[in-house]
Amino acid sequence: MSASKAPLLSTRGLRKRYKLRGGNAVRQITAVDDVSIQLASGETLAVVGESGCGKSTLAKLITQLEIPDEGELVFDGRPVSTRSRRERLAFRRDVQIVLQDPYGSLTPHFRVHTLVAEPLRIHRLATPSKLPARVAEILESVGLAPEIAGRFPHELSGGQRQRVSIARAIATRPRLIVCDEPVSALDVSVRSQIVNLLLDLQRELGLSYLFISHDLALVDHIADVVCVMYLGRIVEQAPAAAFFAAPRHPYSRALIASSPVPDPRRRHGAPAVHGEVEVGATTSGCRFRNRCPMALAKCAETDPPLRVLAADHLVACHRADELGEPLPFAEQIR
Amino acid sequence: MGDTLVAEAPRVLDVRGLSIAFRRPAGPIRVVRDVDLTVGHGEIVGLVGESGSGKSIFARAILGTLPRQAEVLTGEIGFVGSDLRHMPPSQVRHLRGDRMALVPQEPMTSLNPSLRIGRQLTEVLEVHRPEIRSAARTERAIEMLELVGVNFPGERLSQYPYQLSGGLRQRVAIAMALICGRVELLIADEPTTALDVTIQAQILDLFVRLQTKQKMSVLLITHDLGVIAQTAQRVAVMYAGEIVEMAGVDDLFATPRHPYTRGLLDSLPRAGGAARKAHLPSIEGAVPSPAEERRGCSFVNRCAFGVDLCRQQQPQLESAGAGRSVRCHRWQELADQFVRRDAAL
Repeated sequence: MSASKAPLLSTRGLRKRYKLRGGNAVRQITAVDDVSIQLASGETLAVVGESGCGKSTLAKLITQLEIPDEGELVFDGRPVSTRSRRERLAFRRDVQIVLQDPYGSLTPHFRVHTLVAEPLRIHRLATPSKLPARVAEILESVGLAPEIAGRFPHELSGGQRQRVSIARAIATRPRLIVCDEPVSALDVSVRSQIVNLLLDLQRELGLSYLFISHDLALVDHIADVVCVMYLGRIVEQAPAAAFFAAPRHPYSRALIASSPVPDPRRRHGAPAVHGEVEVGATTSGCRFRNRCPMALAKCAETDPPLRVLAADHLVACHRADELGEPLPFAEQIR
Repeated sequence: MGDTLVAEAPRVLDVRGLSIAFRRPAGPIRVVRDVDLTVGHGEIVGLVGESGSGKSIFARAILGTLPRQAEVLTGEIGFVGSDLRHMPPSQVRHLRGDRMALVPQEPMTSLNPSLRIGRQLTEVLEVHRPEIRSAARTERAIEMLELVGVNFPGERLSQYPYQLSGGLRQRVAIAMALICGRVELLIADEPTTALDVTIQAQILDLFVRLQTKQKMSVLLITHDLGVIAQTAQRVAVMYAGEIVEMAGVDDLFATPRHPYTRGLLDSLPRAGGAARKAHLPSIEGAVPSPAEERRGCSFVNRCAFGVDLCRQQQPQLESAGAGRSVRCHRWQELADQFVRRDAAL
């Protein structure tokens, strides 16, 4: 991300807590903890991490489906929280979301026409007489034939449904689309078609993507900036090229080394990390230390702050300076 | 590597000419078509395919758990010398959980949510190994949990499935599959699809260790070519109910012979550098419906190399060198073109 351009979206210290009820005890977990990100116009910021890392909560906060407990969301230079009702409607037009499961995210008893026309009607972007033509135009831009408009979601394949979801998202001519695992539920041969569509739309419409994914090879392909989250925190944030060349957080390195590379010449040896993500397990120090192969006594005492290691490269690890080397070849995903 | 393994290994699984159809009022729909597949002793064989390719139905036919509407039309299912297809269901039930076992995709739905882990594990022994006494059963359950890497195994016995994470549940499912101690064939159907990558790496490592240490044979069914490359010795690629290519894992990834295999491998993002944000090669179109009448090759509508012959005549699975076979009329002419993009590495 170039520092000179004003970001389209930035967050400062976003925090969201949820109450967890387990038996009689009520615990509080911080699903998103002090998250500050910046996304430039026309760029893709990928958020990666495992289940429970807070990436989907972050998506909800950015789309205002959830309201943060703390922190600020600035879109197009203005804080979202201070906007008037009318301006918030405009925000909802500018920021759209595409979800993972194209089976669960489309209302089953609406035809495709109704699904795609809905955002147009809500935001009054087309008069009733112009609606069919506009819907056909939008369907065409996502690679769907106009006949599809008369079908129900269950009559479509997974790839076609995800195209409908994308059509709904671009109908309002947004500037930012939050994509939450948009191709994870699709078959391999269809996945690349949808990735290509997203890339084309970004180029044609100047879209920014906040792209949530666990597929690091895909992230390496499409992202400009990568953000790694672990238990609600950002542990590493860097331009994609720098990140994949030499990741600096032990967790990022473990994530990459665990990704199954489609190359039998690069079989992994023993697993890169043991144990699992334990929500709420650590109350002090670094949250990754229980699984970290490099943890020191210091890591249990002080929570490492996110600090600048190189240009635009932020890492939250006491020992990041020792991790400047690229990963061994067998552990890389390229 | 694949070739030597194929050679003379005794076959744990030997499926020949297997066709399976769903009964429909309009006539049977063939979802598995003339499949040959073998798994040797101590071998991990990967079966790759996309949704609707028939890979899960194939697995259920081996286990004798086909849904009511499905029936085996033709073929044999050889399991350590006996034909499962002509065995009475009661005998197949005896084998299942004892000498062959399934590790399913989502253990949350396969484990009984209302029974403690310990009960579910010992139940398998009650059924298949009644000679083992109750105290020894619990002991064995703890041993198995330890073997598959469950921490605090003693305490886990009194827990319910919902109290465990996805990774731990999958380990419990593997322990259940192995607890009889006589399992010769483990069928794992998308065993890591629901798991996070760091946990996936741990579970795949467990499969490889079980295979090398316990000489277990594994049929690993997945859509994920990365998982296959990391674990399997031989690979069968399934498309629209047919096996379109079969090869040792190194051969398959280095020199794919079938245009579909090639298309799948090409479509995987291999990123970085100048290629960033470039179009990924993709296979256009979609899988044909199994109800459709087929004349030629099942892949012809999506194939960049299709010719008239492909549309008129169905290709047979033919030998394409030592230990590999392919179902394509044109594989020999195309072989030179199908060199892996990063072969220079």
